[in-house]
Amino acid sequence: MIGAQKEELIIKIILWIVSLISVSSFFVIFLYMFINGSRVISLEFLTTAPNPIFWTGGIFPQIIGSLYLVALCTVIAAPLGILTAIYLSEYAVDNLITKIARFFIVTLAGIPTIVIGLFGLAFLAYRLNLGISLFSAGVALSFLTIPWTITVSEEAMRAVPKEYREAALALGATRWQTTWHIVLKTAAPWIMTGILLGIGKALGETTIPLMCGGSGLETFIPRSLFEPVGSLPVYTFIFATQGNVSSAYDRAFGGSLVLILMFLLISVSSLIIRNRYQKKMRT
Amino acid sequence: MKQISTKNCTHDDLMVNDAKIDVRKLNVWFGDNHVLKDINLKIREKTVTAIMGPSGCGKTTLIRSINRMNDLINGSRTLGEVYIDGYNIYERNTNVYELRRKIGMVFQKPNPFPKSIYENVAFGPKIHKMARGKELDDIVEKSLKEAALWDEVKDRLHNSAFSLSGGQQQRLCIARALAVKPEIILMDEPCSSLDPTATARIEALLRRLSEKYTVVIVTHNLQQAARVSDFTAFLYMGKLVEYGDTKRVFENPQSELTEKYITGEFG
Amino acid sequence: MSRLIDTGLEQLASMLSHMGELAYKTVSFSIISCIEGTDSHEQVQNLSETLVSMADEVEDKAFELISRFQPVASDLRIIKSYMKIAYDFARYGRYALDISQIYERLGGINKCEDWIKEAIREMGEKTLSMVGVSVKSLKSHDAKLAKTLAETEKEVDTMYSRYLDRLVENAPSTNRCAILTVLVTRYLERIADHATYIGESLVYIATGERIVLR
Repeated sequence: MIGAQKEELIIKIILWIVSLISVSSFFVIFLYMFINGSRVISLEFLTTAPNPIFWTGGIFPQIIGSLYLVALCTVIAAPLGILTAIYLSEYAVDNLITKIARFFIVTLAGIPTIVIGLFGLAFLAYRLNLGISLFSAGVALSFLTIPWTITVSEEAMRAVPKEYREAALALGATRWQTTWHIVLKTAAPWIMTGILLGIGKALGETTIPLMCGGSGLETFIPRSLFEPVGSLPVYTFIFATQGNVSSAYDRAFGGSLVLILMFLLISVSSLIIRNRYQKKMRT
Repeated sequence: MKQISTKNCTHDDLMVNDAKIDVRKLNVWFGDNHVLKDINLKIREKTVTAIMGPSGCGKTTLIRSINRMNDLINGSRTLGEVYIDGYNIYERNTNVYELRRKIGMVFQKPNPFPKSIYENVAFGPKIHKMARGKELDDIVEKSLKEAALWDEVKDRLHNSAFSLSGGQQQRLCIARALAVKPEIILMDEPCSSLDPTATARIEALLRRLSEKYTVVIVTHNLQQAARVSDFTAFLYMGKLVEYGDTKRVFENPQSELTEKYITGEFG
Repeated sequence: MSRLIDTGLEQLASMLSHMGELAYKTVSFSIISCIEGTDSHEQVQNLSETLVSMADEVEDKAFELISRFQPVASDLRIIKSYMKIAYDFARYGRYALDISQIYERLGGINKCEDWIKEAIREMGEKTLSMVGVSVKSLKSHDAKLAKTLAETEKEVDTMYSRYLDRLVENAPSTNRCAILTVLVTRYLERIADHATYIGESLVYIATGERIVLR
């Protein structure tokens, strides 16, 4: 009756308001960064190196450094993660060992990044003598994204209907042919979006590159894997924490705006990949 | 209830010497579950043989033992022999991939790959490296024609298989199975998700296929078994209760259990 | 648990058993009045027509059951046989009518020789008993009883051929009597045939075997 209708209406309005608040938080952050960051954004800012003496200059080595780090991390994490996921989803029998393996993957995914950072610094940089470098940071970052890649890829492969596998196997395909031609191809768009989101995670990571990558103030692009590397999050962190130096403060906003834009780019491309695939399947 | 054993199972044609498929004392377990018990069954070449029985009687397991798909199930164990053209496929050195190429399988739910119509049919020949280029195109066309689908899809071979109707998808799956040049076609309740019109088309197709292939169909639809098959086997609780000429089984079943099942007194 | 088709089969069975009673009544009217030399044409005609329309009803019902339930095995055998038996019952009526029509055309057997009357009575009673057995074994689905019809049918056959032989050797006083009794015995022999057909159908229902009792 009227009571029930009123109740429905009130609940609807409450839900609408709460949703609005949650969604708008992103826009508030983005807008805030845009307003404060756009002041320093210029071609010069994007193409020159920072000046750590006067807290001026640009972020070019940091942009490239971030891209290097993410690329190295993905080159390591994607094949390892996908192959492990293939083993878990297609080959392994459900037993105690795989259960333990899954437990460790889940735990590794939740490890605080400071722990990975310390491991990278102590073991990779000092013990293995790889130095505070692109390589140490890239490898350490991949520890962060491997479990994520495994989980996402395994889920994507498990979501492939078992009827497809049966059809392929019944045609005389081997398990590998089935996995390669059917399971991976079907799961590919989801694995790809998973990897892209993993890239996003690595891109935004601060602690690990700060501990084993470099100071964030690098004025040059690393010429080898074993040179320190600058990155946008570390740059932002360092420039934002220079007290009342206003030129540094503004640049921190500039760095974080560029970071957020790179993030958006990744999200949008993963959306496009999925949409294109779904459209292809429908016609 | 009458005591059933394989001994008093009624076989009309145990005299067949040139059986295409010859199942002998087949036993299958899934874990502790004894699913098939001492099955003896000779299936003639180029006929349609229907396997019917209530849910859980082991009929699907029986046809899956013919192309060794049960091997894929964890904890399955098979004892006994299945001869195809006189060769026991449960021999240790059997090439299961070649075996499964020789035996096409069509499933309960149409399960085309999420690929184009063309790619679905070409998948088998490709993985078996049977053909490429023009030759592959020919195989695809021939298979689609054999599955009575060509005229409906010839202008949209590169569209997704999911753009087809359920009945068309099932015929595509049949074409996919035919493309690797099988000799036997196993069908596991191929019409259970289709409407009567699509079902009728598949049934007519099935009859035509039996001129060239040996067809074994599992069905829980008695009328379908009666319509399409030359021989009918009735399985109950993992045992073969009756096997014989379809006309005879449906007009005058020898076993009381068969009679009760097909007249709908249980099952 | 009773099946949906069971109601239909029961209906069919009761239609048929009712028809059997009526068929017996028709044949007995006709045969008894023939033996007694009286006219039963009108009653037999009515009964015979009823039997024909009942046979149509049985057929309709049987077709309905086939199209609705796609019966198999014993269900199918019962339906098929019931259709056949209904036809046999209708034939009983038809031959009974034929016999009673002879009275219209050629008169009764009162004026015939005694040995002829005796032969007709004997054969008539035997045939009537077969009709009775056929109806009874249908009602109880008694294949064993139905099988006894084979023996009786042989006896009727023998009576028929022996009667013809005797008729040729000792010509009766009138042609009318000869013609009239030849026709009557011929129809009786046909009725006996249909009784055995019913017997065959009942054996088929029970065992699925197609046998020839004759």
